[in-house]
Amino acid sequence: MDKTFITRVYNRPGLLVRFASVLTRLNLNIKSLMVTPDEDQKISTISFIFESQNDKQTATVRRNLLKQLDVLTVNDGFCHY
Amino acid sequence: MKNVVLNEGKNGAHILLDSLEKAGVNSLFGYPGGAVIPLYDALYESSHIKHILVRHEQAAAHAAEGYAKATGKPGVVLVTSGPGATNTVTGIADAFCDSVPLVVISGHVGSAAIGSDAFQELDILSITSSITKVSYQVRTVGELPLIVEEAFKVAVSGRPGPVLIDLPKSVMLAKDTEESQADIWLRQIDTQKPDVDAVQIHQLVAALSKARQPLIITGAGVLKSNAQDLLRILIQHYHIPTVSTLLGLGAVESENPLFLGMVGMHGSIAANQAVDQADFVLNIGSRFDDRVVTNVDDFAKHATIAHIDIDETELGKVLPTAHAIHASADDALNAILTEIKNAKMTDTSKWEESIRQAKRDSMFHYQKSETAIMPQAVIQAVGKVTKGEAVVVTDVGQHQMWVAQYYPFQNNYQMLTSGGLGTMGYGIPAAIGAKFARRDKEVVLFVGDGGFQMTSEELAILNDNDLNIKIILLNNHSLGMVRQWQTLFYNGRLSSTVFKSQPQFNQLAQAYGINYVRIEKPERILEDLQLAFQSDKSVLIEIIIPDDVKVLPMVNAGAPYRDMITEEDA
Repeated sequence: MDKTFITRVYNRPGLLVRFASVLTRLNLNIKSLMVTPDEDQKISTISFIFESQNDKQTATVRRNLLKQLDVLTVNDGFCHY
Repeated sequence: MKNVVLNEGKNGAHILLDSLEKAGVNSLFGYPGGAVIPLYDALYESSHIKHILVRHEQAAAHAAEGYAKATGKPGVVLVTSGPGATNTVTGIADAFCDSVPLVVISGHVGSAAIGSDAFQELDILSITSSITKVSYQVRTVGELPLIVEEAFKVAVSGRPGPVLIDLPKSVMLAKDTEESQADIWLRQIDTQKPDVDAVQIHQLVAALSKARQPLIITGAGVLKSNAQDLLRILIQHYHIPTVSTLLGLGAVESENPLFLGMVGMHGSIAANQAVDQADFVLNIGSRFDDRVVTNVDDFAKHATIAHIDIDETELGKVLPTAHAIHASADDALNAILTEIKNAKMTDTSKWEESIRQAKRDSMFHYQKSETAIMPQAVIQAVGKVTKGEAVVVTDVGQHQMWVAQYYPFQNNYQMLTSGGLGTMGYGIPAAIGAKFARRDKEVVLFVGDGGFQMTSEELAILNDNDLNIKIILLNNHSLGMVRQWQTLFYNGRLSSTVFKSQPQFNQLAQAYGINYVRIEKPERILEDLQLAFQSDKSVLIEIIIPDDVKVLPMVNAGAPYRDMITEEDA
């Protein structure tokens, strides 16, 4: 099932590698990815869609994103391409 | 941008050392190379920071871990770019898995050469991204002190862990100017511990007070927050039996009649049976890893689960958890001790008596021998010689589990081992780091012949620094733990686990100028150890053990505790 996460993050170099690493560890691919700047220049919003096998896997992605120091929030979004 | 005082006239290398001093650093474990020559040049005249020259960068990271685990303070590593940095990866990963605070400083080529495939230039930030809490590359000398300050905060706050600072040579050489301070901003690092939710604690205590067969699992979080005294009060006053994870050993004194030792794959029969029988399990500061929860469906299946963890993402990760409390172990235990005073506790005397009985009957047993030296007997003897008070470091494998089973741990900062990652080669450098941190303590290293040969080059450091470490080399000419699995589960096909040849360890000790003792007679273990421990120098104590001794009991990966393989089965 397609899953969308909308995350607010500190806009630090290298963060996208950490996102990719969270997904790569589970052999997941990104279907869609968008980074948008916030009014606060330190913050960005990263929205992405990935195909999750099940709820457990989705929970693992969410948990491992939240472990990242620069990830402030992880919220569910709606799938739209 | 944050206003800071300019470090007039100083270059980045000196500013780094100033910043480390400000962070309370007095020891650095490292190895020089091209990209860090300016840093080593600055160190040359530093009187406040002692640099310990290791023989391989992996050892620098493990030594810093040993230092951190023996003190609770961050260990600091300094290495060069490229291979210097990549050699630390195993140590960083080890620290990440066991939540050990490390600050690793890797040099880098000059900023202009980054990305150009220059000599010893690598993207170490990406390489370490999945094994650090955060990684920095310093862009300007102005941000350097702020990054160092933040890095130390990150390493120790919340769930501790490793942090990497990648420092280009050009920044080491640059002088601090107004310009270099442009565009600096820092994260808001929350160094406060999470507030304990009073309602959750009330509910937890209410459930605990109703339990007829309660059990505590104590983990590393108790030790990291120095909460062992609070835990002991809870156990003592409310008679709650307790088991420990590998990394939690020391929180409860081994001889406590309500303490059943290590739980899990190589846990005691008593500990594992207690988990099976408990109706309430309170896990304080451990993460229900797969060496504890060997079978998720069967683990503590009669129990309500309560879990206290500083890392919120661990709560509910493995088991459905009725009471999930995001807090540090010390804060949560304080809150529980306050709340429980008003609770009416259920009578658990029958449970308590059965636990006391199990402690007498069903802990660890092994086949005694009059002709061969059994490893378990060696560990018991070392326990006697050191009165259970040594800082005990292990490598990884069978000996590690025997130490966890048989050494009589008493307190915090006492058991230093590689848990989550299980890194062979950890032992020698970690013991060296621990001894630097605690010169006042007896440091004993237990190591197998496999792990010993992975980092034996670090023996050179012992005489360099006049360190007194007692190294117990349990030699079975095998990679014992894998051999055990091959014997039990792979029809005895010992594929690549028996060494055809080995170095003469006495000659190796001699080459490094270390005293060597070989213990050969089972009846003389205690006396020979006592003699060896009288020396104020390092001693390599080699003991040949039978190659077919197994770590028992054992619960196979994925199996329920009731399928435990015991001494009788094997």
